[in-house]
Amino acid sequence: MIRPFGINEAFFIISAIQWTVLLSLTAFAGGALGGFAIALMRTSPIPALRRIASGFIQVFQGTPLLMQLFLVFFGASAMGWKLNPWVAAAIGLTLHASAFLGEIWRGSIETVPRGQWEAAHALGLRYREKIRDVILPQAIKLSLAPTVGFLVQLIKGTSLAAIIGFTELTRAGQIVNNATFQPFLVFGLVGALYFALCWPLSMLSAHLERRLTRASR
Amino acid sequence: MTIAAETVDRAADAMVSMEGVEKWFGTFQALHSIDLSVAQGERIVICGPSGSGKSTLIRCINQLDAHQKGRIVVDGVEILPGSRTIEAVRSEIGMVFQQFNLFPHMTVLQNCMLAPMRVRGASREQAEAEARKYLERVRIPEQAGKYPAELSGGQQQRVAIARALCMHPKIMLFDEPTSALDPEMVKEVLDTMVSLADDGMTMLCVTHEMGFARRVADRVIFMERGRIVEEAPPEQFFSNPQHERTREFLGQILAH
Ligand SMILES: Nc1ncnc2c1ncn2[C@@H]1O[C@H](COP(=O)(O)OP(=O)(O)OP(=O)(O)O)[C@@H](O)[C@H]1O
Ligand SMILES: [Mg+2]
Repeated sequence: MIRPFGINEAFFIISAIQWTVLLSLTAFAGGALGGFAIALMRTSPIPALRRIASGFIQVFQGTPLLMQLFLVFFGASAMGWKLNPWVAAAIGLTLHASAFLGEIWRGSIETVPRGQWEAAHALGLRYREKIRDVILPQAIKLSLAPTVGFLVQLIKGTSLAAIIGFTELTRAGQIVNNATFQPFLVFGLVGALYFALCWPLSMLSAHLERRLTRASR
Repeated sequence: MTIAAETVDRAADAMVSMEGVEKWFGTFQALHSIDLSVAQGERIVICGPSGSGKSTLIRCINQLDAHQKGRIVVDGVEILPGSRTIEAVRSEIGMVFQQFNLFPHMTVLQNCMLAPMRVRGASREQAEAEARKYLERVRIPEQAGKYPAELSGGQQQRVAIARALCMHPKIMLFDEPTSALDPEMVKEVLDTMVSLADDGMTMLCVTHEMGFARRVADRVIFMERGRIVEEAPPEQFFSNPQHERTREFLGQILAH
């Protein structure tokens, strides 16, 4: 039952982009919240918080993303919850993004010179004000380029959601390929679509990076 | 009993009182049994070789460094390491750093307005009026809209002084405020500090500007290896130092 690769097949693949984008944005938004919390915990004056955050980061940086998705998807069903692949992928990628963004932002926070903290301490600012008014505005500037860089990794990482059965770009490609046996054409198109998503972001990240090094000179 | 009461009294009179203060960094002892009392309106200059604990001493007063033993009382309030109310005490103590430490993402005016608004709850208008007043005071009102990176070192340091003054501190701590400056800018910062002293501000200055010490200090303190070695009014300190190490140190520093 081999079908030819036609306009319908191409359209099926192209329209699956929306799921890749939606999954990326969900994981990025969730990861931004989680990562913000992790970064604050990692740089907190309270040792217990620092340890918890550091353990979280180590677990998620030390295991493959695919295993993380498997653990959420199969782990949930082993505990009796039926998660659909979309929810499982969103949760798994959110946790993954939280760890990585948390680590990126921790680095940015720690790059803000100690003297800035000390000046803020000396003025009597409270923790929340130190973070909000003094540290974050400087840390955010430093973190923009690597954050956009991580978004590119995350978009590519969503392709693993195909393996737990979520029909995003990669899985749409697999489905069409199973019907048409035109792997070169199908995955060429899939790859080109990823590239179209990721390349402008990579350029943006590089641009931000250059602007930062120029500004710091 | 009587001794305790006396201690409290002495502490209550002084703007800052340190009694038997000890500070360790890990196993290294940076301060040995420091006793120091600073009266209201008194100007003290601290000098001594590098690593002698000058910065550590003044940083213990606002707890940028926490001491492990002894008592520090600022304006009648004992400073306890790790205390939750430390911000309230810090807001009464102005500090000026060697590296200025202005907030680079804020204009000069914003630098001066931040703490009064956040800590004192001043309105924007109040904070701005105060900020402009103190920028006038350090003689750079025209730089209010600029960012720190657009200013010279001397101007930045004067902004840092204005920023501290906007909090109406009861005491000002200076940690080598002119050491990072090009020589031609040292004077403008020292002049600002002299005029502060003339207005009766209580000041603790770590500096090696001996001309400044002669002119404004009520007492000069010489530190070495975490101890206060000598303490005297400037005339006596410079003309008749009691300790061999003080003489050596003065010899080195006045030689150039
Ligand atoms: N955070 C720290 N951790 C470990 N040791 C420290 C720390 N800060 C200061 N020290 C040590 O404590 C001692 C006193 O340091 P401090 O900065 O008070 O000296 P200083 O008299 O201000 O010297 P300088 O003239 O170089 O500024 C030094 O031996 C220094 O190495
Ligand atoms: Mg020092």
